[in-house]
Amino acid sequence: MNKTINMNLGGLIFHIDENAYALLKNYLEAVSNSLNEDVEGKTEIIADIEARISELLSEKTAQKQQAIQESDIDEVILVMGQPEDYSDAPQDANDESSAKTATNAVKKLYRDGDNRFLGGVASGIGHYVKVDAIWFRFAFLVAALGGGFGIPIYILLWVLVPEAKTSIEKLEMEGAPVNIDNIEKTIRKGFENASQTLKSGDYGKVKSGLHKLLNILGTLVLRIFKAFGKALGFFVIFISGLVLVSLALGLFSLGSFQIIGINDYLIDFPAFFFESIIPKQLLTVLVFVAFAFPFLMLFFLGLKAVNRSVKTMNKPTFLTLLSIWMVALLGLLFAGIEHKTATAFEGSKVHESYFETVKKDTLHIKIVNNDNLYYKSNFSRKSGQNIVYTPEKKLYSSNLEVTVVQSNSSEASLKIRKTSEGRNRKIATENADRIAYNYTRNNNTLLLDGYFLSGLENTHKDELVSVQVAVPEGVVVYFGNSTRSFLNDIDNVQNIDDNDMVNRHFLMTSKGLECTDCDEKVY
Amino acid sequence: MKTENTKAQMRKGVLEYCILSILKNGDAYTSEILCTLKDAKMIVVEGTIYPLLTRLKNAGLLSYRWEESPSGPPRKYYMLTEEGGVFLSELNTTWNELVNAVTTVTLKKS
Repeated sequence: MNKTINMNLGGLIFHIDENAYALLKNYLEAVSNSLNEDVEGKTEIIADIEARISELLSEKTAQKQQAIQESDIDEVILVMGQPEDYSDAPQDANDESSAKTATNAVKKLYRDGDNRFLGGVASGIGHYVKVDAIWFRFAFLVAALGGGFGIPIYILLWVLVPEAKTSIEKLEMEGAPVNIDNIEKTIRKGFENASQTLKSGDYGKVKSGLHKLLNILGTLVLRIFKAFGKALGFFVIFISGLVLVSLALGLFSLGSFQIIGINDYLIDFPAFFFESIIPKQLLTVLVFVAFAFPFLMLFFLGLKAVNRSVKTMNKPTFLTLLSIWMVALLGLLFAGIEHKTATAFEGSKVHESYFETVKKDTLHIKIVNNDNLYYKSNFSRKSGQNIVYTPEKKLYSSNLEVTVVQSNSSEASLKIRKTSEGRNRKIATENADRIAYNYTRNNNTLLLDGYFLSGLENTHKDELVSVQVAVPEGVVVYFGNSTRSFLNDIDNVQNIDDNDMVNRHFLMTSKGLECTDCDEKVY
Repeated sequence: MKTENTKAQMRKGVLEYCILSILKNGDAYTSEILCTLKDAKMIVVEGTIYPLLTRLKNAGLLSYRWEESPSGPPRKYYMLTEEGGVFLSELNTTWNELVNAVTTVTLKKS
C-alpha cells in the first residue's frame, strides 16, 4: 500500500506514488545540478524536460489507468538518460583528470538535519572538522552547564548556520566532491531514508516526540528573535522620533525667541557660542543638524527593522543629507577650535591695599557667600561655576584661594590677584580685570567674598582669584570655620595641614606662622 | 581513455548538424526530433537534446512557436531561422569534406 500525491508536471495532472515522486524529484534536481547553463537557460531546459517526461508518463497512464509507480519513473530515467548525459559542454580530451578538477571538493559548514540531536549543529561541525559529533555535543553540554555560555552559542549557530537541504549542500557539508556519482549516491541515500520512513508507517509519526518538540522549540526561538528585532525597531523609532521632534521644537523656539529678543534670559547658550566668528543663529542650526542627522538615520533603521519592505530614502537624498551633516560637523569643529584659541594666553591683574594692625591683635579671616545670588547650605570652593542673575546673567564662580604670609613692613596688606585667559596676553589681562571680586574689612575682621562674578563667555577660561594676606610679626591670625576649603597651602612652623588650621589661632613669628592652641596630634 | 567517451564525443559533435538537418525538412516539435534521432540510432537517451536545443535557439539558429496539440498541453514547435539555414549549408560543406578526409585516411591505412 502506498500513498499517492497529486502532481502537476508540464501542465498535466498525475497521481504518483510518494516514493516514485521522491525519486522523480531527486532526478530532476540532479539533472538541474548537472546543467552548467546560466539560470535563465536552465529554467527553460528544465521546463522542456518536464514537458517531455509528462508526455512519456501520460503515454503510460493512457494504456493503464493507474497511479505512477517507481518502475515507471525508472523507465523514464532510462529513456531520458542519467544526469551526466545532459551535460552539453564538450568534455576535455584528458577527461579522467577533469572529472576530478571540475568537481573540486568544497567544504562548507551546514547543520546536519539527518543526524541531529537538537538542531544538527554539533553533527554539522563534526562533518566540517571530521570528528565524531558526539564530542561537540559533549562540549556544548559542558559549556552549557559550566557558565551557561554554551546555550547562547548553540542558539546563535542554530540560527546562523543553514541546514544542508539539497544533495549538493549535503555533499559540501561532508566535503565530498560534487559530481554526478556522489549526487546520485546522496539521492539514493535520501530515497532509502524516505522509503524507510514510509515503511515505518504514518509519515507524521516518524519524527519522535522529542524531535517534534525540538522543532517547535527551534521555530519558537526564531520567532522570538524576529519579534525581538521588531520590538527593538519600534523602540528605536520611538526614541529617535522623540529626539527629532524635541530637536525641531528646540530649533523653532530658539529661532522665535531670538526674533522676539528674549533669548538671553530663557536660553543658556554653551560657552563657545559667545566669542565665535560664526553667528549664534547659525551655530544653533549647526548643532541641530549635527544631532538630528544620526537620529534621522536611527529612525529609518528602526523602520527597516520593523518592516523590511518599507522604502526609506534614495541614495542622492542620503548623500545630500550626509554632506550637510559633514559641513555641520566641520562648522562645529571650527567653532570648537576657535573657542579653544580664546584661552591661549593667561593674564592676571593685581590689586593691593594696606591697613594698620597692632601687635597682639587678632585678625579674623572669614569667607562669606551671597545667599541671594546663589544659595548652598555647605558652601565651599567645590561649589564651582554657576549661572546667576544680578539681574544680568553672570557667571558665578567660587574658584578662590586664600593664603597668609609674613609682611615685609610693619603694615598688613591684602593682595588680590585675578587670573583669566584670552586670545592674547592683553585680552587675557583685560578679562582678568573684568572679574568682579569684593571683600570688606571691619576693624580686625576680614570678610572675604567666597565667590566672584564674570561673563558667561569666560566659562572655560580657568578664572581664579587668589587672596594673599600679609601680616607683620606679632599679629595673631584666626581662621574662621568658613575658610576651610579655601586655604591654599599656608606655610607654618609646625607644618600643619590646611584643613587643621581652621578654628585655630596662629601667631606670626620671625620664622612664620605658629599655632598657639593646636593639639599636638595634628602635627 | 574509454571508448564509450570517445563515441559519445563523436556523436555530440555531429548532433547539432543532425538537428538542423531534421528541421530543414519542416518544423517539428521536440518529440518528433527525438523520434527521428532515435530511429537513426543517433542518440540513446533523450536528455542530451534539451540543453542543445536551448543553446541553438539562444544562438539564433532556431526559433520556436507554441502550437495546440489534440492531446495534452501545447507543444513547442521548432523551426530553422534564416541564420540557421546559412549555418546548416556551411556545416553541409564541412561534413562532406570531413567524410572525404576520413574515408581517404582510413582507406589508406587499411
